[in-house]
Amino acid sequence: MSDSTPALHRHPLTWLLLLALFAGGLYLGWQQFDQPAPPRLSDQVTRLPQPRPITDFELVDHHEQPFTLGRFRDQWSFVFFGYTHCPDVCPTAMLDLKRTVAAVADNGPDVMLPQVVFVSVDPERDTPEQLARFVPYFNPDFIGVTGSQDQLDQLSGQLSSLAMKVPNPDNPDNYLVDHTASILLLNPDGRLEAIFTPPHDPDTMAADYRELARHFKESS
Amino acid sequence: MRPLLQSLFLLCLLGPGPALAADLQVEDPWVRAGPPTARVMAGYMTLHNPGASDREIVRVTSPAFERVELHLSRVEDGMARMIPQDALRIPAHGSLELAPGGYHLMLFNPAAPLQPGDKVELTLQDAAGNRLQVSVPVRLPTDGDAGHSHHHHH
Repeated sequence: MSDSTPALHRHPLTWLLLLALFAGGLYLGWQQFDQPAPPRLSDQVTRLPQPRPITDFELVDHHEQPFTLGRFRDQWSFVFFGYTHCPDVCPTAMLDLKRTVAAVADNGPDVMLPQVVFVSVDPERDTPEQLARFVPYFNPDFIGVTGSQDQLDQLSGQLSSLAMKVPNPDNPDNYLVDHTASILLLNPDGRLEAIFTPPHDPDTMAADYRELARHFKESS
Repeated sequence: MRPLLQSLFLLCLLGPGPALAADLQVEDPWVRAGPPTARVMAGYMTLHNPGASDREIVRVTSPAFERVELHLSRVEDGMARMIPQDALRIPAHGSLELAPGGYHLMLFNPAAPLQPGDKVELTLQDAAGNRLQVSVPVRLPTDGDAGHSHHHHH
């Protein structure tokens, strides 16, 4: 009886199955090998599972040139929302960004240098001229951006950035503005890639940026 | 970190009552240099209170600025907020650090543009009107400045 049943190893389908398993294993292994290593990031940064696309917006930079979505393309952008009548947090963030960019540059030319964009949360006082007095002071390459409240809302809403004017009854002209404390990173597709929560340590930010930029380059 | 140099500024006693200068020591005061057109600036220092009772600064004035307010920067729910303070309290046998990202003096409308190397006079006052005058250099922040809230574990 057993002679009439072909042994399992002699069955042609068995070999086919083994071959398929072997090929499948090879493919998976190759795919694993070919995937760029995931970025190794500090706990100061949150990377979005999927970079968030942004629709176009219409703002103006401190040179009074239009600033639209295209300005975020083909380069990395650190974006900080703040205001020029802010004596402590905003100059500190600008200095942190200046040091971050310097640290990226110091570590070699293999990743592109990010641009830094300061977006005003105080359009009432932050005209392009006012931004021109503040933003380039920290680094002549930094860009200040403003617009009408509606125009600014269009960008900040997409980046989940909040701002709230706080009246100063004793000193009405010198009101304060609460604003999102994080620094955002947009990738060269103009999509929100990662969020850096405070406190911002420039060396850590630079290392995280290099990891994100490396991963992006290897994945594309 | 912060230079060990501990500069003590014990200057004029202008007000009546016990000397505030005898009770408080000011270490490393500085005003952050900003753009020449800046209309707001920030002042920092560390206040030491070697005495047996708490001290409070309730008012700061300066001929170099139209107005000085006491503020605290802090991050709450992801928002950077500045919270005006009625007083800066320096605990007995303790100190209070005014530093970027935390407590600071908000300095409005400088009478003249200030740049690194300039000095401004600040007068600290307690509720009894005792005064402590401090000469404060304008300078850029250095790596040693406690520029981040993680230095402020309270």
